[in-house]
Amino acid sequence: MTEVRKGRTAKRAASRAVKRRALAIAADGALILYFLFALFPVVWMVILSLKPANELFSTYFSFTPTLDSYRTVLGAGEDEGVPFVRFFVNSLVVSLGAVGLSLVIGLPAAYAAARWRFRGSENLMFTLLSFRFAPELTVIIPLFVLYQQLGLFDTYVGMIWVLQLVTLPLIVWIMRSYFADLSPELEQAALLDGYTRKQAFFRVALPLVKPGIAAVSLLAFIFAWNNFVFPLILTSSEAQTVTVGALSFLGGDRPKYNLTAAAALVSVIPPLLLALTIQRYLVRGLSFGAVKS
Amino acid sequence: MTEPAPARRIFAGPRSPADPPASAGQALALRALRKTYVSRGRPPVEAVRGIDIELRSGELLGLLGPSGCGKSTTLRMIAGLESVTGGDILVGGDSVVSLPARERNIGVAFENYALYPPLTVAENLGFGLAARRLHGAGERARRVADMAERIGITDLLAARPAGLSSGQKQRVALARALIREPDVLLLDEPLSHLDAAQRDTTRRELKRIQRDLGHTTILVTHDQEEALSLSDRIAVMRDGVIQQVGTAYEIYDAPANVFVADFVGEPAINLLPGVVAAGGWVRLAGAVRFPCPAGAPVGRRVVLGIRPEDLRLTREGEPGAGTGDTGPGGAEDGAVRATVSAHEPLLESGIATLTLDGVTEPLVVETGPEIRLDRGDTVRVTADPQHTHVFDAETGDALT
Repeated sequence: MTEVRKGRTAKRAASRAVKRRALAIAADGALILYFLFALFPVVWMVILSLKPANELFSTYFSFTPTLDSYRTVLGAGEDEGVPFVRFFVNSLVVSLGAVGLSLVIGLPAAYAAARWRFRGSENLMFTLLSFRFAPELTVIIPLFVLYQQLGLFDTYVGMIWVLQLVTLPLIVWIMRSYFADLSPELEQAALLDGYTRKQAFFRVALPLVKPGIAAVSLLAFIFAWNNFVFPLILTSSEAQTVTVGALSFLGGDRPKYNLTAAAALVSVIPPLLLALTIQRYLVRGLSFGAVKS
Repeated sequence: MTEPAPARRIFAGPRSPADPPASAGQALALRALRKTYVSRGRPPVEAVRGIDIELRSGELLGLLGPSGCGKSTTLRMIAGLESVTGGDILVGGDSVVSLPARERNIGVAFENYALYPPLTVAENLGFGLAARRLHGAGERARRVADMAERIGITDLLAARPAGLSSGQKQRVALARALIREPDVLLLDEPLSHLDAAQRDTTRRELKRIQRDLGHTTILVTHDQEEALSLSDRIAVMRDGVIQQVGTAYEIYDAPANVFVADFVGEPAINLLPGVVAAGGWVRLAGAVRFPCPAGAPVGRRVVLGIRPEDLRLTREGEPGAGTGDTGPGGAEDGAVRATVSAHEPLLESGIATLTLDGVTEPLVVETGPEIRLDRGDTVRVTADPQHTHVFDAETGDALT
């Protein structure tokens, strides 16, 4: 009797284990499928960028890999009339400039929004947020006219300015919740010790939110770097960035997909490098600040 | 020194006037101090409604009240962290009300310690000194070491706040508040985050340090035990108004109103509605009556207050229980018959909850440790007229 029952329990346990295992395998399979799906465009880009120009339209995977596309893109090979290195530098300048300016304006703004409620403070914050969810295309045409009139078209200043729409709300909103999480008593203790409000901000509050600054700066940099619409409409050559610049290879008599692919891959490098260097702040930074409040 | 087991709670007792502190602090006075919070679309909130408090130099005043009574707002106004709606704050006779916090020279030990996490204890102490740039690095280090010595945290100087126990953090916070040699020291709920064991030692330490250094101190707390044991005088606050200022004994023995009587004392005072009757009695219901302190007008509706430890409980028929029974529940010697509804024997005493004939409120009595009572037992209770309180039923103010 007990033997039978024991046998049954064992059998049931075994079937449960099999079921669990099958589920795990199915889940893994689904993940692998998704992984392939998500990664395939990247793989395709890498392959494209390594293909010689004459094998560009072959659909099979055997070809002689060459770095010619990269040489051309970086200006070391034949001249295609596209100053990609310049675009790359432009991207760096406007993205870093936009993030830098946003930090200078946004950190004190975020601190003020976290510490004081003043008349219209919530409206101000909401307006700032609305920059993020309003499509850029709704403002781009008036901006284009304005930029033409003001002489900001195709300039660094103009690009850095317009990218504030992207970076500033992000920095203010995320940093606000960081500052709100700090105990105000830390700064109050400093005030009582004889520090000014400004000193309390710089010497007490700011050092404690460094992980947040690192995380949000990276995020803002990536958004600025990846922005397409603003440089597409508001620049032509002087201040054009890689996102638009990479497409220049598609113009002309025949589209050079290999060059576009190489250019795109090169332009992934800076955000990637940044992400790798500050990744230890990232998980803590993003989960600590942005999710709450 | 161990604290004596006092007959009446845990008072450290007021310092005798013959023992003035070695004073480093300034006298502090609050004059008609008010704070009203105004926000659009909502009625203004009067957090503090004109309070007057005077502290002698070196005195420790406990500001005691339930949460939301305005005591923290008062503390923050004194520190300069909150603007003042009206009234004045005088430190050493000079008004500081228009000065920013950094120019007031007031030290605050915050409830959550406010220690700067990235810095060591020594750096935390030095951080406060560095603000004014009065001292060179060498002098600062000397002062840090000196203060650490006095507070007893020398072995913690290299540690970071995260590695400290709550009691240690509290002492570091105190050292940080004191190192600038403030004119007035403010302690915000200093013991509230400590466990029972740390609470006792830290309380004793606080008392010793405050007495040694002689700082004029306001202790803000909602914990009566903390206030009673540490303070020279106590101000009981409610709804932004000071209800009573006095020594622990004054507050305890002569509460100014029902709120103070009820708020101070553990277990809480018995508050029973009744009417003052002729012959020095307060009649509760039927024949149930307790002796009334002299001076209460006959016929007045009152609330009678008797502390559980001021009631004496004897078993029915025991000597001293009174023999001349005059009616149900009443006795000529003032004994009242009651029925036991619960009894919690504790270590040094017990707490009995009794029911009186015709009275809805239960009567809580502190018993000696030797008494064992069961539910339903009949007992006799006597109250000492010296220790009963009567309050006006309408206003709640003490009548005697």
